[in-house]
Amino acid sequence: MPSRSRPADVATTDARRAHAARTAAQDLLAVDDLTIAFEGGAGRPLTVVEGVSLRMSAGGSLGLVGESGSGKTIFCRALLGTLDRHGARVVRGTLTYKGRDFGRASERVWRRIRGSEIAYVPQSSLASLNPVLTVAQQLTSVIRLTEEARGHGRTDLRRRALALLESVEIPRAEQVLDQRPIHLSGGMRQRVVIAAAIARSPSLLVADEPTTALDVRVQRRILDLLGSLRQRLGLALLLVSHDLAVIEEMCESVAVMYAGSIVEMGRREQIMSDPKHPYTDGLLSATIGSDGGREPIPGEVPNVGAWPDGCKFWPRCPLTRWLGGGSPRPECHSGERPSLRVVVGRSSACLFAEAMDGRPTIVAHGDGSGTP
Amino acid sequence: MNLPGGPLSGRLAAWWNGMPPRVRTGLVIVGCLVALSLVIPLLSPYDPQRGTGTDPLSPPSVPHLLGTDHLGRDVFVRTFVAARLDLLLAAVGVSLPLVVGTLVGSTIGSTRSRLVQYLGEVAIEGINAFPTLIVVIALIAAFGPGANSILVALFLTAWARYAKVARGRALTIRDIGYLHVARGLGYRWPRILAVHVAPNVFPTTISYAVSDFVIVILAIAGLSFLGAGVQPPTPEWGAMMSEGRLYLAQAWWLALAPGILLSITAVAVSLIASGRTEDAFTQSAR
Amino acid sequence: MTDEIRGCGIDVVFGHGGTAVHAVKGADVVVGSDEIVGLVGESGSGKTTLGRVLAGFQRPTVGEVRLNDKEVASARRDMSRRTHREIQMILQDPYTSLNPSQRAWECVAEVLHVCHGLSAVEARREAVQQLGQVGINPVQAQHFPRQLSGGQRQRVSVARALAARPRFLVADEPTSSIDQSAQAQVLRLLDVIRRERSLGILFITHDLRVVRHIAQRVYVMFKGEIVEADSTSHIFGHPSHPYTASLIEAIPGRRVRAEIIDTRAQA
Repeated sequence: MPSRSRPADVATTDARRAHAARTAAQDLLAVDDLTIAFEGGAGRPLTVVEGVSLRMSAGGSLGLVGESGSGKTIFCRALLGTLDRHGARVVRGTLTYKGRDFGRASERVWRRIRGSEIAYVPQSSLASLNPVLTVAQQLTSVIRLTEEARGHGRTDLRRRALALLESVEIPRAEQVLDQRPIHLSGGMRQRVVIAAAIARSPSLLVADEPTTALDVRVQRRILDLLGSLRQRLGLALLLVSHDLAVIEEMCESVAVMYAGSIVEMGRREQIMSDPKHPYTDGLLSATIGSDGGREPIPGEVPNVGAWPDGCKFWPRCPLTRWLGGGSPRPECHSGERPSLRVVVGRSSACLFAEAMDGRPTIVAHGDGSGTP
Repeated sequence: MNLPGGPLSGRLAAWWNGMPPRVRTGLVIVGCLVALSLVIPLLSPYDPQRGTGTDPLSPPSVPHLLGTDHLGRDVFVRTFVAARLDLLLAAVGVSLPLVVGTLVGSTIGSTRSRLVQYLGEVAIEGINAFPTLIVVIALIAAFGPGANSILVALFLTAWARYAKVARGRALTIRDIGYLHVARGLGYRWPRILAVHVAPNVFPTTISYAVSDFVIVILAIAGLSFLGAGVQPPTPEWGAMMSEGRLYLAQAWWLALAPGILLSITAVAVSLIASGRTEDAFTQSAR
Repeated sequence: MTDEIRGCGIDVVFGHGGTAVHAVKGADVVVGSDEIVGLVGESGSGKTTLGRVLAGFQRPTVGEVRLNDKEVASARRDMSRRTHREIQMILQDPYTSLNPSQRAWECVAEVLHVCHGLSAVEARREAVQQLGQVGINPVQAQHFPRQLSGGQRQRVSVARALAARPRFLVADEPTSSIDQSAQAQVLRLLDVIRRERSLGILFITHDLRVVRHIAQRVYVMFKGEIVEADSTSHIFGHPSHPYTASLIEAIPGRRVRAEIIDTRAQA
């Protein structure tokens, strides 16, 4: 028979429960232990995304950093429910959007939220626009799907398309409406794709490397556009990129993905100035670099299907070797996968995250943290 | 220095498993056919060209698994000797145009010389426009019927088809990075063709050749059936069917055996051809 | 012994009359031994065309290329096969710059065999070793390009180029199609070979970030013209042309921009 709890305990439990309810209500997107696999050859499923958990609140911005082979693109597909087109499926975990689990939902269910709730901006604008149709035709076909546009005539639809183009800051929008994608520059095309994505007023915009194929100045303008759209429309932005600098600029929260799993996640300032996972630290040195230039991470990302045991980063990790006096610590290369745990106000999957200060092998950062 | 390579069985196993089941079926059938066509003539006590002691036109029985034909010859051994011949002729009829056509087409497709391009295209399109049958008839009229005439006629018309396929493929790689680099390294034309162009064109033309094999083997059998190809008493499927035609009512097994085997061969090779042979060579799907 | 390759008054015009495209206008560039020179510009700036002129793949419409003050290519004359070998080019797309039917060691061995007359056995052994120097181990040396990642393929391309023992390297956006940490590996590699072999490297890119720490000098190109040419620190510290300033302004990442502003303030 349970002992009678004291009033203080009850109050704390209630408070905690209320807080959890509030947080859950605030979460636009909640991903828990999401694991995605392909039907591999010879009947064995091939895991490409393993145990991914993250949260996004309405109007927030999360940057997902990952190199090729990290599984970030497959993860984006899961967020849009297009996994089955590529022969993959969710084998474990949940994907909750506005409180409802869509992880294993049918295509019919996904069609209701794809585009209208969760929209997608891909890397290649040429591949996502129909080369035969004009911009007006493509935009109006999307606008037609919105509630307000039901039963409206062509002139009205065109007017809305024009307004959309102006909202993505396309100059001479009236002329652009009648052009075909091939006649537009890369930056203009990307704006058209963004316009189509926001046409149905989604709550979440998933942008997968939206500026990687563009010139630097055009990239700057597109990033600025995404930022201003976020503010104006209250959009939540999930920005996926291999470019840490882009993510640092655009996103308040950062999740670092390696070989299918999240290895570190937290607020931008924490991750960038005081990383608590050797991969994050290595990425920082390799991309943003310090005054001495970029420092590459030795080795290669392991191929899907050939993931090491234990912590997937251990073959390339300088920390495990430093702590083990030259050879990797046994906890790192055998046993279970380390899961995310809270370390200094953010989540890290490194078993020795606390030891990240004062290790000799990692290059000093521009702001002086770490030891040379 | 000891350079490690993968274990052969491992790679072969991977290649085999990578094939779709229908392709594997085709390969097994063709493999069995080839094996049988080599083994049975050696094991059989009967001479394919001579009559045995048994009565002519006797039905299938234990010593003569497919019976005997109108001259008392064992149909079973004749069918498989014919298999050996037909498969060989078709292989030759495909390989020669394949090699010549690929080399010529690759050269034309990857050259920067306008003259070579122009002459090559005229030659290829011109020859392709010629109906094969006319050439065959002309050659037979000139040199008489026989396997040689057929092969020569096929070669003269077929190489241009392969050249066209090869040229198309070569055009897609003409301005590609590694060819620029090869020129920048000062490699001369023969090397560029042999090392950098042809190996990347062959998967396409070999794929074409597998499909072409079916057409060629049917052409050989067909022409022999009409009397223009392989002549009796040499056992050949088409020729056997032609002889057996006269006895269809009494001895259906004479024409049926070669006919069925020809069909099986054609279907089996078609199954192999359906498996995107090109990709199997290049494993281009990442 | 210092070498120098110079492009003098290079103009490149494609097409004729009304539809002519003036890809490069009056460009003067020089690359010396033991230095990395950046050539930065966006698409359509003519940087790739200029790089190809220097590497001998494109004949200039006007102007000439001089190697150690001797004319080696001009509007009338293609570069000789021999000079071509002295200036090797690394291409942008790692997926089409290697022959798919050749293993990694084979493409390097081919260079050794053809350019230096090594026997097949020697060439193979030497090729594997040279691949090791760019970070490709003996197992990877046996792989076909399709089995290698983008960064690995770029490094094989570098090894192939180096096997010809060139004096200069024109690298056309070698890091644009690969991931960040693979980029760092390629950049580090180029810096190392520059020092070890006293090579002169022309590094073409659209992203100023990339050359900030490895190039000693930078040319900035806009619509076919070189608008600024200066040392890297000057370019970042005191860009004199507004286009250069806008390129720097466009660099993403607060921390990087803060660093640049800091260095500027200190200068």
